[in-house]
Amino acid sequence: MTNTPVQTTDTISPRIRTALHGLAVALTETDEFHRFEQAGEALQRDTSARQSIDGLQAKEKDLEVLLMLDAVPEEDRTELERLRQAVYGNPVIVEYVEAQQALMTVCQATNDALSTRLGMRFALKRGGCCG
Amino acid sequence: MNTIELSLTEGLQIAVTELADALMETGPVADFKRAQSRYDTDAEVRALIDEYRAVQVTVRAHETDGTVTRAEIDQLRGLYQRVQTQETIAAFARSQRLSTHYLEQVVYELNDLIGLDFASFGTTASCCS
Repeated sequence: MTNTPVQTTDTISPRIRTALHGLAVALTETDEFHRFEQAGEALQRDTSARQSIDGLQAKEKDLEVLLMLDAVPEEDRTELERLRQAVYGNPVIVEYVEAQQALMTVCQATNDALSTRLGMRFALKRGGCCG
Repeated sequence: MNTIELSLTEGLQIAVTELADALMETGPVADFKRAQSRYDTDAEVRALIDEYRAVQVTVRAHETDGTVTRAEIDQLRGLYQRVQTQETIAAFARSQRLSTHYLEQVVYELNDLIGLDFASFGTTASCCS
């Protein structure tokens, strides 16, 4: 989960701040938000699942250039496939990914609805989300 | 109510409406909407932009066939300066910048309240997919 550092400001009016709190409550009360929180907690508790993710990420980083050139040796390709199966076959990780996707759908619908009403984009992504 | 909102819970629909109304009635977003309305309905602005675009098309065409004149380039530059300094256009551009910055602050505050980066979750493109 990524959480942008908070930049507090006193320029947000009380009315907007109240409405923003209402949106935050409505979002955090959705089934999708609860599911994502529970999936995140389950992933944090599951040492084996986190080790699988770390192992795959380390191998992918190690082979980054070769992957880009599609020139990974057979032995490494087999190892990479084994690591991927360990990650994507892990039910805790699968649940986390699916819960994240479900919450993203809700957030996107919320952002789209706000943007449509405002006639301009409400939230814009800056930079990468995986860093 | 549109299709997007129908996919939201009732609580979210109400919250979205209240926040959008609050944003559009006060502060930089409200200023932007007013500036946008003036921009859209200002006949002088429309005429100036139409003239600028027409001259721009002519200059590009003449640049391509090698017949562009100094006078045409000067005319285009002069119109560009007028576009840049025209009061309604400048106010529109300034209010757009300020409202965009303001919405960033609002989203930062939302991030703090919900404990995740709403923009990463709420925009269609995903670098993780």
